[in-house]
Amino acid sequence: MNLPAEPISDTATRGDPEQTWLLRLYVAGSTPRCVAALTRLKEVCEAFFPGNHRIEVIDLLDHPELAERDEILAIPTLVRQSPLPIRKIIGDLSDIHNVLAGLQTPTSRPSKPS
Amino acid sequence: MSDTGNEIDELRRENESLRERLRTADETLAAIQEGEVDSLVVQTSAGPRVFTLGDARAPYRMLVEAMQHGAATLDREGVVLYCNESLPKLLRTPRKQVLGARWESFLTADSVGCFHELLRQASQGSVNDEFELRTADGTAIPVVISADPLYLDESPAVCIVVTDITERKLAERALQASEAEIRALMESMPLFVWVSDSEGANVYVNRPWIDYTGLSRQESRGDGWLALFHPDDRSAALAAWGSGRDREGVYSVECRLRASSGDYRWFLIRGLPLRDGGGRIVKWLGTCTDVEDQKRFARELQRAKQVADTANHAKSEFLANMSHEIRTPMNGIIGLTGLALDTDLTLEQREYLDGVMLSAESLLKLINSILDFSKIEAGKMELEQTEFRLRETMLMVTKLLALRAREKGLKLSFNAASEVPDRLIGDPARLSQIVINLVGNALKFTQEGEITIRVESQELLGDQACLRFSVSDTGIGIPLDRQAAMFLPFTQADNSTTRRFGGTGLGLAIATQLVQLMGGCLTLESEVGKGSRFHFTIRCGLPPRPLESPLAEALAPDTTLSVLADAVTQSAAVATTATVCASPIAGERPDERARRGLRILVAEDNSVNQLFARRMLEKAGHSVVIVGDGQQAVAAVNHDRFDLALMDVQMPIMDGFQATAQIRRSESTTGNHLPIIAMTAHAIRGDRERCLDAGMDGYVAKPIHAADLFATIMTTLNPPAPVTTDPSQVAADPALSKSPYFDATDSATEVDCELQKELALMFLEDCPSLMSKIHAAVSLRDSESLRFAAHTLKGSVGIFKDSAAFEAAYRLERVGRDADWEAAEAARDVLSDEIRRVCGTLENLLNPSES
Repeated sequence: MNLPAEPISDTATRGDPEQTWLLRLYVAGSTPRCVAALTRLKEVCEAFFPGNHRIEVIDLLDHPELAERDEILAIPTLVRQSPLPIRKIIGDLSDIHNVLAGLQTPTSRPSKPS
Repeated sequence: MSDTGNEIDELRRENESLRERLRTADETLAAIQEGEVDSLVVQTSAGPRVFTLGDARAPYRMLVEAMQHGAATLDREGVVLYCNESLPKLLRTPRKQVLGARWESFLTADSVGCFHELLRQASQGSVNDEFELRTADGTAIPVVISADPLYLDESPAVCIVVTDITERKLAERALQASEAEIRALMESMPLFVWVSDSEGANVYVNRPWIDYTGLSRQESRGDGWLALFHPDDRSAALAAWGSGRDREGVYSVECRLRASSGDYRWFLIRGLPLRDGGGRIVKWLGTCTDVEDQKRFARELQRAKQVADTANHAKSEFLANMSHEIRTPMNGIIGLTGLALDTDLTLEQREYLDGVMLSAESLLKLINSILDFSKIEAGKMELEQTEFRLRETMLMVTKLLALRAREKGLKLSFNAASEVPDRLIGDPARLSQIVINLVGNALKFTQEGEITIRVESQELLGDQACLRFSVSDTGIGIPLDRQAAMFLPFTQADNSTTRRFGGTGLGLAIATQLVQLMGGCLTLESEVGKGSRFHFTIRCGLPPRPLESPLAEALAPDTTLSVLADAVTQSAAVATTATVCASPIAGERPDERARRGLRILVAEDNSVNQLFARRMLEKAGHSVVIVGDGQQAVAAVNHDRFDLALMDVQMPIMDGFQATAQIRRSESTTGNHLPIIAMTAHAIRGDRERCLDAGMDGYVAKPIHAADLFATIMTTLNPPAPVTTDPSQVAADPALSKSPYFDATDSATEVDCELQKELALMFLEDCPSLMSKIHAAVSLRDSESLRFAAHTLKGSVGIFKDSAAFEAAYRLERVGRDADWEAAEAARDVLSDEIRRVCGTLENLLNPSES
């Protein structure tokens, strides 16, 4: 799979912006783990948030400075921008339970509503 | 307060942030461990920078991940820090549960202690050992774990590789099972099985070996085995072993091995060297098979065969003796029947006695065949080695058979190629027997057409000649599938043959054996309906070269009469060898007696010679009585009156000399004198003197030739040469039949004709000088010279069977001896006329165009 060189926005999401899941995936070129992570992310979103998600892919090989914004240490890393709180899932998303835990159950982890 | 509260809030936030960072760090570490991350972001002075993990370690990691073996990194305590994909599969446990777990939790209880030991040793260096893994589902898996020391972040750790050896263990177990089977098989085999090292020291022997030798398995090891070999067999065993070294495959040797009882038995020892890739012998595998019984059977068989051979030999000897014994009464029957036939008989009686004679003769022939066969079988047949004339011998045979050929209206001819030597050394009687048998068969099975005897020279080498004979006929032929059986004794081409044609079936077997004894072989080609052709080859000696012209030399003045006679014999097919020393019986004219037929006693133990003598003499119109030894001869002379006796010198019971002496003794009272002619195989001068000293009147050499015999009889009784031949016996050469001087029986062949011509030529050359000697002797009244010359001329014209010339020469010889010169002049004139006539006829024969 070829990833676009520029950060992209998934415009497939529609409806209430409050209900839209904004997911940002940090990658570094087309490494096997990054490709695997994007594939898995798309599958998960289609399955669980059909029509109300947006995926943003940021390639740090092109824009390493963007790593600072979300304090990215390892690649790939998925950042849930919305709904809040911001959550990070590190790795290639191969552990589906881990992914769902990180995305769907915001209350399962100590969080601070702002 | 608010400051404090703010500080607390600040602290809480910081605490929260630190927790968050810690969690992120944990998660990052876990993700790294899980291998879910392939790039890291590192803060540098130039800002964040991406490092792709794959850049540096991916190839190694991929290798490790791709390994079939399980691989893991353990810390000092045995906790799994890292593992590849194969290891969780092997343990049937999720990777997550493997990571961070203590390695010993995956081992069976028995293996744990050993593993601690391995871990301890691994800090020193590379080690490996076998363990048993316990999987999540409780299965035990045999593995080999190899461990190597490893330093991670300065802290000691161990890297292990886990190899599943389940398959290997299964294979090992299967191998052990099959090895056990093979070993059990080897132990239960009756053969001895041994394995030795490259130097021949035993490393294994099976149970039967141990049982047989009485040595323990331990005692059987090493090279003590040689002591078990029979001392006489050791060098052979070592030699065979040595030969096994030098070649591929199995070597074998038969040796005796000592049993625990101390007895030896024969074994067949077989050994096979096993070699490495370089051809060097690594070890030896072998067996020993007990062949004692086989050996014993073979020995017994050999002994049984010897016994059987001896018995067969004894049988043959018995047969030979019996045949010999039977011949004596047979001779009596034949002799007495002959005597009876000579008396006045009614027609009916004569017919019966002819029948008796015929039956007796065929019985004798049969007995002679059996005797010959038995002799050959008993290895007692010995061939004579005497000098003989081939053409003359073959001519006699042809003549013998011509009568039967004529009776059936068949043409019988003999032809010898010009290159075939005439003077040979061999056994003419046996050669004749072969030809007689083959021609006899041909006569039997041919109804019309011809039978041809041919001789060719196959090879002439120094003093050896290989001659090829053939006897062909235009008879019924022999089917191909019967031809081989023909040569077996007691067999004929068809069982019905015996009924139709008679015979014992021995003839061809005897002929075959005789030919073999003569160094040749007898073969047959035949086509049914077309005829048969028997071929045989024989090897003969060649005598030293004869004198250029024996007759010429014989005529030199100092040559004695007897030498002359011998010379004539050598140069002519028909000649005289007589030693004249008998006086004619008073009263009757000898030639008259000869013409009406003589009563002749033949004392001869050799059956062939008996038959030969009988046939020849009877054909010449004489009656013959044959006896087998000297005693019978004396008895026959005492009971009967004979005109002549032919006495074999060597006979059983009483030899010819003794018999002659006894006859002469009894004659001293009666005043009779029976002319006795000796027959002896020893053609030496001393023998002749002995014969004459013993009171014999003449002498003839064996094998007996008709011409010799008749000439000797003639000179012994002193008649002119009797013309005793039946010209109708042989289909005569038309050219020769015109000649009055050649007997048709003597000129049956071209060869014979050539000989006659040669003789004629010689006669014509020598005659003038002889005649002038005679003229001179008469003029000079030299009785000695006259007698010599007349005698010589008499012998020469005797060859041509011209009785008028012979008588003239004879008369001149007599008057020369008596020195009656008036009669001598008259006799000379008669002789001159006769000789002129003879010479004219001979010249006409030699040059027919001039006549």
